[in-house]
Amino acid sequence: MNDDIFDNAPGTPEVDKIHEVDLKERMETFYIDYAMSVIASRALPDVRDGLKPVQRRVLYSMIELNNGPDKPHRKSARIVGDTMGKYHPHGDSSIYGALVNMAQEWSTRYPLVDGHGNFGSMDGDGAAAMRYTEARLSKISMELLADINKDTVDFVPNFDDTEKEPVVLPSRYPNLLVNGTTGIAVGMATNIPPHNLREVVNAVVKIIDNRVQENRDTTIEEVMSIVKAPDFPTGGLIMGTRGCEEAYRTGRGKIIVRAVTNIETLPNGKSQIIATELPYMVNKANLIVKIAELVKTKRIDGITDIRDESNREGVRVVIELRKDVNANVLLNQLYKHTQLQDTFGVIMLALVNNEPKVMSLLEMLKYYLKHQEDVVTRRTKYDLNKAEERDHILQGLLKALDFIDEVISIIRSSQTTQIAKDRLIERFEFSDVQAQNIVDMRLRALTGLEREKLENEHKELEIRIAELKAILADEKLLLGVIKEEIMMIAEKYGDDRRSTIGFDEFDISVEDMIPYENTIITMTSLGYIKRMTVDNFKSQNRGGKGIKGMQTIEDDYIEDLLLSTTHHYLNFFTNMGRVYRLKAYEIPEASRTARGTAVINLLQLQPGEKITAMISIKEYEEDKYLFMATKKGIVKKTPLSEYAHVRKTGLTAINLRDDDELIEVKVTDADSEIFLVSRQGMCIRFKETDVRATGRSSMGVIGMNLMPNDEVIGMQLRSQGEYMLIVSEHGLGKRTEMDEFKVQNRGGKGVKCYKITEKTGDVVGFKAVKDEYELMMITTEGIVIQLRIEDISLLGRITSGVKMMNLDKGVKIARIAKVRDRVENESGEEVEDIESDESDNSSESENADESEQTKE
Amino acid sequence: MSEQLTYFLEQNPSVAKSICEKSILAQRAREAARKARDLTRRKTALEGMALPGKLADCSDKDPANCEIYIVEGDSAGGSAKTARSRATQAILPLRGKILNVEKARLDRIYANAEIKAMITAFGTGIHEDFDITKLRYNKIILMTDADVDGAHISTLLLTFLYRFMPELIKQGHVYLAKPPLYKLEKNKKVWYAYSDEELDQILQEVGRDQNNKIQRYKGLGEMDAEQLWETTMDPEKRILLRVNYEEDSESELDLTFTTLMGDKVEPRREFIEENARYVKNLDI
Repeated sequence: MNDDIFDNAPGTPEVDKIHEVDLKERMETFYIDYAMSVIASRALPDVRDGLKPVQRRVLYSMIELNNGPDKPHRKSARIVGDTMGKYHPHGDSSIYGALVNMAQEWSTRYPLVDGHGNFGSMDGDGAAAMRYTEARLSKISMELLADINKDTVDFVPNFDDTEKEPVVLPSRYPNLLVNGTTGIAVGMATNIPPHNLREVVNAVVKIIDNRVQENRDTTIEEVMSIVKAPDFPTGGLIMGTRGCEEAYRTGRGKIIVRAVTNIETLPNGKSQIIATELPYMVNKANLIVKIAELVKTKRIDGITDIRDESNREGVRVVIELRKDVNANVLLNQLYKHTQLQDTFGVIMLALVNNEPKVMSLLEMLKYYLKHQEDVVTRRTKYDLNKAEERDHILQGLLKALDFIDEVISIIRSSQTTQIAKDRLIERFEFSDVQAQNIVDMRLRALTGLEREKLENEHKELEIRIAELKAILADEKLLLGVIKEEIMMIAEKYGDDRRSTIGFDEFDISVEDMIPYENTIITMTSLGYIKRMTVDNFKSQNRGGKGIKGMQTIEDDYIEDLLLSTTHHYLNFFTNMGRVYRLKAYEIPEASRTARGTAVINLLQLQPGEKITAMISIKEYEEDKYLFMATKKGIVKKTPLSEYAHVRKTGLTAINLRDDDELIEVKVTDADSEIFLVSRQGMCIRFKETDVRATGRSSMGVIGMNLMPNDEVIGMQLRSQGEYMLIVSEHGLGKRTEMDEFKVQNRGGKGVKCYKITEKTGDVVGFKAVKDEYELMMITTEGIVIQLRIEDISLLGRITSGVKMMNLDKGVKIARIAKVRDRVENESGEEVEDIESDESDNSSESENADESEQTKE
Repeated sequence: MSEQLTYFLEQNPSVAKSICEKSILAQRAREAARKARDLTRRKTALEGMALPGKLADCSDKDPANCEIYIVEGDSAGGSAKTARSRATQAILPLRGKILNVEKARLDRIYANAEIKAMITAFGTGIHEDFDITKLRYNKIILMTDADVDGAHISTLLLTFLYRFMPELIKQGHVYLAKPPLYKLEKNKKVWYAYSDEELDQILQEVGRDQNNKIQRYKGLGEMDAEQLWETTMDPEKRILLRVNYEEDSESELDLTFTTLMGDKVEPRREFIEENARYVKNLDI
């Protein structure tokens, strides 16, 4: 780049005085100037009167304009003009905005301005232009401004040194907390909710009482027992006080506010939701638009009409529902997705000595009380001063009356007033003021009645002076005055709470919005999971083969399918001995042909971790157990209830030894019989009662004593079927009556259940089956074959069975699964079974017996 | 291949997510860059004709003689237009607070009328299209009110210049106007003071008494055109502050802009807390 293209240009008049400045330095100075001004004198309120400068200036201008509640309204433009010209040299729109806000009864809990004309609406309509509207101070504002002329607060020159303005208002009630505030400064913001006047005053009184009566400090708990939650001008339902407590303790917290609603049923059977109070600062028109949008985009289904029937009597938003819709479920959806429920993020930031500070509720109240002590002290001093001045004059007058003849003669014999005064001062030691008042005295003061009046006034003043002096001398008396006065204000302006305080339990979890439905969950061997509605099977799958309809990745197949409801817990056990949990509705719903979602997207599985068992549970009942088996023949029984709290990151289900894996988990009832089968064709049957129940993270006990290099390939319960079906690597298989196996003690080697030869290879699969089941076999090449159980030879214990599948050289059976016969036709009925079973919570046994089971 | 990739991505959601995010970001950047190029190209195609409507250009066509005043607000813009020397001084009034380019997304920046007006008025283009030889004015002078909002607008303008055409600053084409802070009137004579010290000095000379009429200027709009010319725009009398920076402090400077103007609040608060005591100019 050519730096000096301009330098040699002719004719540049280089007469400028140019000073060099550094960009960084300039940026920082500019920025800090701006930031500090916004913080200290624009966006944040003073902790003492709760006002931002623009608000304070508007109110002060109004009192200067003699625009009080007992006077007629004045044009807003007049007030704005006065404020701008005298105290606030900024845009008129921000001044009018502040005036309007202080007048809106839905924005300000106790309006400071009494507006006349269109001051906007809750729909976000703006106020009419300031040339139309009129305003005057409200009654309560007078308490904000009370005693301002008694030297109660400091005054400073205005921007052009032509006027004086107060730095703070006397604020005889705690306006910061009562009306709240909101403001965004630079690098910080404030958001203090409004409160009920009576409650806040009571809290101040409590602090005073503790100091006066018990001579002690007040705790935050004491204060919070009085001020429990904000009180919004728009009412609403505050969802629990936990958020409030946090905000009051730390200065920050989140408060959830809900609209007050009512569900009405119409004669035609339809119902409608009627909202009569909305959360604070919610724009009603926008809210309705938002709901309409949700209906249009089908995110909320079941609303047929929304009408805003609000009028001067109050808010009334009517949401009409379709006949078949559960109004409560829909209302919960509205709470979740719209501002019908809103969060108020509290930041209790205000200026203390012109510096921003985040405070607890107690600190705010204390700063306020400190301010009141200041104001009342200064007022008392002012009153004392006035009283003493007057008394001084009275004393002079009374003394003059005592010596009236002499006084008269001195005055008569004096040439001028000044001479008379001088002589009186000399003779009676009057002060100049006294002397002046004496010479100004009227003749009628000489009457007896007048004298009496003067004497009475003097006596009263003496008492008053003593009182005032006592107040100044004794902090407790001072606090007493504050208490008395503030209680009068609460009495006069206090009103009932508008926002009701509800409970935390109402927290909407997603749950309340999900209808209770039967559902089918499938999981493929590659870990794709999906949820399907039962309708899917009823309407679309008639006569088809369910499994074939689903698009899986090559070599993938459905490994597990269970019937459940949307509200059941699905427990996923992994080879690493951990358990993860989802509610069934958390699994994305998909069509029958969809592949589903990879389960790793739903669970926080660790690398190499695979799901080996999936169990659906409605409730964690006390008398049920989870029975687990590992590859190395270890079994473990643990009460189901120990798995009731599963974290997002999973939970240890069993403590596994090195290179052992969890292969199967079943729900048992303490009375089951367990079958374990090993790769080398051994089987053991033992009673569940042989295994003592142990804790969740215990290691378990030996279930089967395995030969070296042998491993358990499956666990089944006696109750799951009539026959034991065994399939070997090379596609041979058979079934054997389960009762051919005798009950043994656990930990034994078991008995032979399959004859292994070179032709058969190792056992790969074992299932407890019934006649009406079907068997599915999957080869290492991914070929699937389905057989009817009835067609499989029923043979004795030590046999190898028959060829069930022809396999190419090198290809082996990878896994087997049992399929309930013609599930697609019967699933509807099965689901109905579940429904009727719900009462006894036996869903896990349904899953075990009625739906298809799996797993090697 | 595609099936395997799908499978892999579904099994590794975190990888999938970062790939998506990266792609979207890149797509946005490309889109924005394309818009930026279009903007500058369109301008070159029309060459000087697409100047913003609000710009009151100067009659001299030799950039070496020309200067442009960027003025805060229409009310000050009006008097600046009247006050200027028509031959060499151009005026571009901006409305209110301009967009903070540090926080806004590129597409919003290019859609912003004030930003567009400045880019077209300067003529140089931006970023990699920047060409200093096309600069239409030797001096770019930022003239804002002497109050804190003026200070804020200056920071916003400097951020824009630094981020989009840093060469202008580096080569010393960017200036800040220095309007007077006070006007002192006494016995029909007028003095202007550009700082508190200067006011004190003048007061010492003329004597402090009842006849002093001191006006504190809050905004440029308070001055009539004659005064504005005399105090702030007349090359023979005015004071200009040339903004510059050292090249080796660039990284530090970068951090300053990110801290002050960026979208993270926390560092900004820390900066404010650390520097609160250096405040000179507090506006009540």
